[in-house]
Amino acid sequence: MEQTDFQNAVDRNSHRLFLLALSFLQNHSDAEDVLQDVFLKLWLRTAPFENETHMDKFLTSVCVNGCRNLLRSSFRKRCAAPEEEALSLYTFDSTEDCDLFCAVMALPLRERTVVHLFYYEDMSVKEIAAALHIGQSAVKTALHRARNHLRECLKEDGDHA
Amino acid sequence: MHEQYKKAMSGVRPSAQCTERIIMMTEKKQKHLKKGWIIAAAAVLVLLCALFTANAAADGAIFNGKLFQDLHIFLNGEEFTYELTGAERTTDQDGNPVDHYSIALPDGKSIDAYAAEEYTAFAVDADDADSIQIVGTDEDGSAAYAESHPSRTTG
Repeated sequence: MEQTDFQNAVDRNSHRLFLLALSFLQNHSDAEDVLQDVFLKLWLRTAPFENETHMDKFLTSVCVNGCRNLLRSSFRKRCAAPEEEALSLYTFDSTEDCDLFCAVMALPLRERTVVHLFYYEDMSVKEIAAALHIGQSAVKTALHRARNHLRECLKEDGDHA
Repeated sequence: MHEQYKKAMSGVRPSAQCTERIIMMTEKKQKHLKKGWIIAAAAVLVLLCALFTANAAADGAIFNGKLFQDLHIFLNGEEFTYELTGAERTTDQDGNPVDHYSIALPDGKSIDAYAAEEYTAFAVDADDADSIQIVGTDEDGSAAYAESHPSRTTG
C-alpha cells in the first residue's frame, strides 16, 4: 500500500474506528491501542482491496476482532475500568451531547456496540448481526433495550438538571 | 437520533499523538524496509567481495617443477591434456635455451609455460576456476609432478 493511500485510509477511518473501539472497550487508551493495531494490519496487508467500501469493511472487522480479543484477555479483565477522566479529552458542543455519550458508554457491552453501529455507522440490523457474529433477533433485542436504557438515563439526567 | 448521536460523537476523537503514531509507524516500517535493503545490499557487497577474493585466490596456478612431457590440467574436475610441443625457443639472460608454450584452454583460459633444461614452470590463467590441479609427467612418462593449488607455487 502506498503511503498516500494509507494516509487517506487513516483520515477516512480513524475517527469512526476509534469510536467503535471505544464503544467496545470504554477506555480511551485501549481504544487507541486497538486503533493502531488495526492500521498496522492494514499497512501490513498485501492483498489489494476492491474498493474503499471493501477496505472499510475490512477495517471494521479487524477492529471488532481486536476489541473482542482485548476484552477476552485476562490482563484487561483484571486491570481495565471505564475511564471518567477521559471525558476531558473530548469536546462536546453541549451538555446534552456529553450526557448522550456518557449514557451510551454506560450501557452494557452488547447494547453499546449495537447502538454505535446502528446510529453512527448506519449499519442495518443484518449487517450488525454479521459484524458482531450474533443473530438478528439479538441485535433487535439489544437495540430495543438500549433505547429504553438511554431514555431512562437521559430522562434522569434531565430531571437532575 | 442518528444525527444527534453523530453530533455527540463528533468531538470524541483519538488524540493527535495517536494519529501521529500511526503515521510514524508506517514511516518506521519504511525505514526498516530501507534498512533491510541497505543490509541486503551490504550482504551482496560482502558476498561479491568474498567471491572476488575467492577468484583472486584461484585466478591462476603456477607450477614449478622438472621438465615434463605432457601437461594435465584439471579445471573444476575436468581434465585437459596437452603435449608440450611446438614451443617457441628463446634463450635466457645466461644464454640457456628456454621453451615457451602458450596453450589456449576452453572458455578463454590460457596457459603460459616455459621449460628450461632442468626446470619447467607454467602458469594457468583461469580466473573463474574453483580449483586447479596441474599434473606434469616427465620424459619417461612414469614420474608425475603434480599439484598446484591456486595461487600457490609448488616445485
